[in-house]
Amino acid sequence: MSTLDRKLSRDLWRMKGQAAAIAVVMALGVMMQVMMAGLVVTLDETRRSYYERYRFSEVFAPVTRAPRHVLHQIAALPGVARAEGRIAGAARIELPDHAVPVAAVSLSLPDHAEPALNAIRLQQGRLFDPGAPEEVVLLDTFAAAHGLRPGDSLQVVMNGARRSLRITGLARSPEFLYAAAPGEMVPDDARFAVLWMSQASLAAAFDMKGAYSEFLVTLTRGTDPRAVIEALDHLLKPWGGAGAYDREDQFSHRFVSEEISGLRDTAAAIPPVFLGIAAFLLNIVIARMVQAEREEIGLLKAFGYRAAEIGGHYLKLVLAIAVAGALLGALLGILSGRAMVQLYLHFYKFPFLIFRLDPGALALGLVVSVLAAAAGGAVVLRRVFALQPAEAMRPPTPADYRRAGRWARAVKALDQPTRMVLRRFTRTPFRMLGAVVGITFGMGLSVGMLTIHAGFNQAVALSFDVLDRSEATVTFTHAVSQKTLLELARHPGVLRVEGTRSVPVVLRNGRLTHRGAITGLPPEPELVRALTPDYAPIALDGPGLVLSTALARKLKAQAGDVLTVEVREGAQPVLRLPVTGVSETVLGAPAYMALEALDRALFEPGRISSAALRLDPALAEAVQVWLRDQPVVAGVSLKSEAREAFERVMNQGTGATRFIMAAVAFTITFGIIYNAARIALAERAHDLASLRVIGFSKGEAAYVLLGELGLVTLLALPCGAFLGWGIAHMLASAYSSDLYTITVVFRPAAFGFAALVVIAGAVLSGLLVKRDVDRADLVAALKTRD
Amino acid sequence: MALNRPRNRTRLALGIGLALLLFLALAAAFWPRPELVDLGQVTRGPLVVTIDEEGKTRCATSTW
Repeated sequence: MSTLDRKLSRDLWRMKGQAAAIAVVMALGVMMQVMMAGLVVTLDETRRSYYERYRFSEVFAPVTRAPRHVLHQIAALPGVARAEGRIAGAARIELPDHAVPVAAVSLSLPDHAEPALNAIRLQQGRLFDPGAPEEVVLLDTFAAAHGLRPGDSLQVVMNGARRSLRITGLARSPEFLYAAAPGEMVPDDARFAVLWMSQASLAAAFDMKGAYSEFLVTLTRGTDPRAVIEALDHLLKPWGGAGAYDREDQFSHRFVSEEISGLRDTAAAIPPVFLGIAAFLLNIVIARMVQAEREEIGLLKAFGYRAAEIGGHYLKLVLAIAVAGALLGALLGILSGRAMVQLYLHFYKFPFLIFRLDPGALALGLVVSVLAAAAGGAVVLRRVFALQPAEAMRPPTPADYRRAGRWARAVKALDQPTRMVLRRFTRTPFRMLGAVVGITFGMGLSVGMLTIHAGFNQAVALSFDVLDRSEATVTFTHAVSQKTLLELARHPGVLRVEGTRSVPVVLRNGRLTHRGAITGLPPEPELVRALTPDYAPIALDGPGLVLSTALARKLKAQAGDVLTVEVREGAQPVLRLPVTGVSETVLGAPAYMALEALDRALFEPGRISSAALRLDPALAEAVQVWLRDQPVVAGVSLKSEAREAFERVMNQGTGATRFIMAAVAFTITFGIIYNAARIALAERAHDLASLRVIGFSKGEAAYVLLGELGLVTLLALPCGAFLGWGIAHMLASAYSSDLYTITVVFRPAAFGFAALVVIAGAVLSGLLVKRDVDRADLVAALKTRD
Repeated sequence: MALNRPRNRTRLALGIGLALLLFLALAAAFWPRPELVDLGQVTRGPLVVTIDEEGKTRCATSTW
């Protein structure tokens, strides 16, 4: 071991507190990067292999009823790799413990063969026997939500007839990673089921003998799905084709894709901020740390060490800290990534999920740490090397105090220690600026994270208390007459009824398309409303569309644009509708239109497809039971359940990362303040000891140091508040997706709380540092180190 | 340091001033905010009775 290496290990041991504090801040920056990038890679890869293994189809073509031989024609279409037909039908499950019936879809699987496409993964039990029509395989997440097991029986209404089915197995499918009750945007395990049954059984139930009601297609490599969709639409038109759509428009896939792309956006936007702040801090602290070694550098030079040797020595010192931090960060990133994967495994319903490391993120973290540390060290070393050894060994030349003269008169009223504090700001403005900027970043991160939390809460409140004020929504099996509303309204316990109509459409603005629905709202609605960003109701009249902000952004449309609307229902007309306004929305990307105008455009006057209800709380239960027995009711969704589901989606999906980020933000904030305090102590240990020797009390010596910390913190608070506001906007756009929109809301309490976090961090750091000042060995501090 | 006694008062004043400023800022931040509510105006107007649907009265237990 060379002499320099021994010095290195001794130096590291001497500054272990400081080194650990720096390394931890760097580690947290690297951890965010590694964890987030790893999660994105993990989810992406898992989804891909899950889709591949279970042959998830790429194009879906629902029809009313098509004979089986059409399948051969489809398979022969150019670009089609594989095709499969199945019977799909809506069903309703009646559960004894549930007043509201649960919507379900029943799907057929080939009787004596593996399905060519959309295979299922049996989790428990066995497949149904093709000869036993009452046997069924159930979606396992639904079964888990209701405690159903193989062997249990299930009351199901299919095509108007009630049947008793027996569960033989529980399965998962890539097609139903997410499942939402009809007419709802937010998936909820408990309220949507999938029943897989034999072809013969479903053919009997839905009168589909020798026919299919849905075709599934995968494409050959490099085929444009639009060409195949067009060919399918043409081929299936005589069989009541409802319009083929590709995977992008499949609910579950779209939801998972949105979640993953949301996570990817978040991973691209937020961890670099953390990493950048950590790197900035590392750079500043390393620079100041090396600066404090000035005398020793001079001494080493005087002993005859070459610049390269000394440079290498200090580089080793700073790299040891930076690399230790980065490696710790990588370790923490992998650990927290694994923990998150456990959560996501439950949330995304992948049957398997293995945390994979993104090597790029690891390399980035390491490189950024090393560069930041090396740059911080190199700049100072260059300055020190420029000095003669003898000069470097002496304490720095006392600063020129002539300029400070006027200042001094202005603060004459203050006592000596306070003036010493203020003098630090006038004499070493750049160091102080660095410290202020560091704490500003900490405050900014905290403000940003807390403001975005308020944004998430606001999203729930806005969606469920302001935009939609109903208590329950009834969805009908088909578009029914408005008279149904009267029937609902006169039932005891129903306080208010408003009919809405939802029509599946494809909206096109130039090359941009969106597959969704137009919601027809009654004039002056009280329950489900379209609102401006200031929460003022938008009057809907005439044949114009009001787009949600998310949809307007997606289609790049604004008021005055004319959209092409392809209706995917009934006669499937193609309409040209102007955009008349943009409304605030949280959930999904709806488009609103006046109900009357929508009905007129479809040539179907007086029709509604769902109704929003306000219920008397005392009779709500009875109303649900009554609704359950109505034949035209496809499903009833309760606001309270939908709200819970939405909160779950926000807190367990991409949004879950915000809790970790908040924790990291607070820790980094504390780390930055603590580092600022430690480095100030290291720089001034000599001065403080001198003060003690000339008769200052312990308290006064500590005051000189802590006053500086306090003033830096106070200056950083307002700067951090502004920075945090900007960070919150960045976070909001990263977290927002097609599924939900998060807006930044001004919550002074968020700023207050962030300020308290920073102040608490400063007080704690101050106490820790004061302990060291009090304990300082005066003789040792005044002696030049060896 | 007896010499500093009188000047300590300025320091105290400055410290109290900053603390007060901080306290006021925090108080403002945590001050209760008005909540969003729906407002409506109660007005007098004529009672409007409409017949939305016609019903028929039937006797539940009619045997003769």
